[in-house]
Formats: sequence, structure tokens, C-alpha cells
Amino acid sequence: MILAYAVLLGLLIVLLRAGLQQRTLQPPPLESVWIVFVAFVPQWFAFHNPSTGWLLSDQMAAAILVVTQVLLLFFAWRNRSLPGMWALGGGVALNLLVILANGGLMPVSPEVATRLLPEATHTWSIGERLWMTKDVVLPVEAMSLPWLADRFLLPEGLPLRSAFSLGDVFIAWGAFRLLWSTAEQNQTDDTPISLQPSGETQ
Amino acid sequence: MKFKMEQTLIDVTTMDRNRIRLIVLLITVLMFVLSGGAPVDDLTPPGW
Repeated sequence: MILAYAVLLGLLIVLLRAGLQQRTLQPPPLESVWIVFVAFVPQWFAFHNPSTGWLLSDQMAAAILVVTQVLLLFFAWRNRSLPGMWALGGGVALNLLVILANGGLMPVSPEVATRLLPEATHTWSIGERLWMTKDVVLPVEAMSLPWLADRFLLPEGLPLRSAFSLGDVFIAWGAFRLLWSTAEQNQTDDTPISLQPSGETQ
Repeated sequence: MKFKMEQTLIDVTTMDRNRIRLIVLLITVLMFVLSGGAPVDDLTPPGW
């Protein structure tokens, strides 16, 4: 959910900017949106819905994660001309790379897992999926590409606790950049109404 | 008068199209980041 919060924060900033500068938001048309929906639904049942997430084996969860991330890469490629899409696709590619290199789940070290929830160290085991997340607990020395793993932690004192990867940073930046682009065209209320369809305005 | 009405219709249509595109964009971006990202932030061990 931390990435969803980042998107909502980005949207708030974009709306503030558009309001202060009297800009009209002009969202770009997206190609093949259905791909994202098809990728999201199985992930929702596997990783976000407690009543179904616990039913899946680690292997099944890994398969869903890999297949859906490939779908997202395809979507990013289809929309590669849009601002931020290379960062979005690049972030997914980095995550997919480290996920594939570590057996199908995102690696997280026991140290990071302990720092996330110190009182719950008895609830996970090395080599197994961390609760209902997309992560598998692996010692750093047993990881492939450890610099791409979930190794960054939010600063102490924040109400949220989260570990995230370099790929997640790219994804957050790409999402913000894409939203930011909706207010980039300098249109004010004084701009004459174009008779051309939206998106083809000069 | 007719021209003004047509202008208004075009304006409303453009506004609605932009609004729909913005909603589609937001939902798509949210689904993309939730699916493409892999942070650990759902800290709910079994039985908790």
C-alpha cells in the first residue's frame, strides 16, 4: 500500500499545481488498459486478499507474480511514449529480474524482516514466503542480486513500516512523472476551445 | 446562439472525456504500482 500512498500524494501535488497555475489536466490516452486489470486481479487474490492469499502455495504465488509482472512489462512497452512509462517499466523489470533470480519471489533478508516487525520473528522461516507478501526470506549471502531486493526501510518515526526495493523507487517515480505530465500543457481558462478532439489540441 | 450551444456541447464533451481519462489513468496507475511493486508493507502474520 505504500506505493498507493505515493501515487495519491503525487496526485495531490499535481492537483495543487494545476489549481495554483490554473492549468487544465489533460490525461493522456492509455493503450491496452485491460492488461493491467488482468495482471492486477490474480495478484489481488494472491497477495492482498487474506481469505484467498493464505490458500496459495509459495510456488503458485511465485508463478502468479512472475506472469503478471511480464504482463505489466508488455503494458509499459505498449505505452512507452508516455512520460514516466520507462521508469514504470524499468522498475517492474528490475523487480522481475531479482524475483526470477531468486526463485520467483522478492528476497528480503532476515535482518530487514526482523526490523519490520521485531515481535513476529517466530512467524517466518528462512527460505519461506514472508506471510502473505511477495517476499521470501533469504540471507543476503544466499541472495542473487541482493542490491535489487527489498532492502530499503522507511525512516524511523513514520507511522508506516515498509521495506522496498530499487525497482519500487523507479515505479513510484514513474507513476508521479506520469501524473505530473497531465498538467504540463499550459492551458488556462482563456484558451480558446479547440474544435479538435481532446488529445489533439495544439 | 446556435454556435454558442455547440461550443458548450464541445466544451462539456471535452471536459467529460478528460475526466474519464483522468479516472482511468488513476485507476490504471494504482493497479500498476500495486501489481508491479513488491514492497513489504502488509505486516499481518498469520493468526494476528
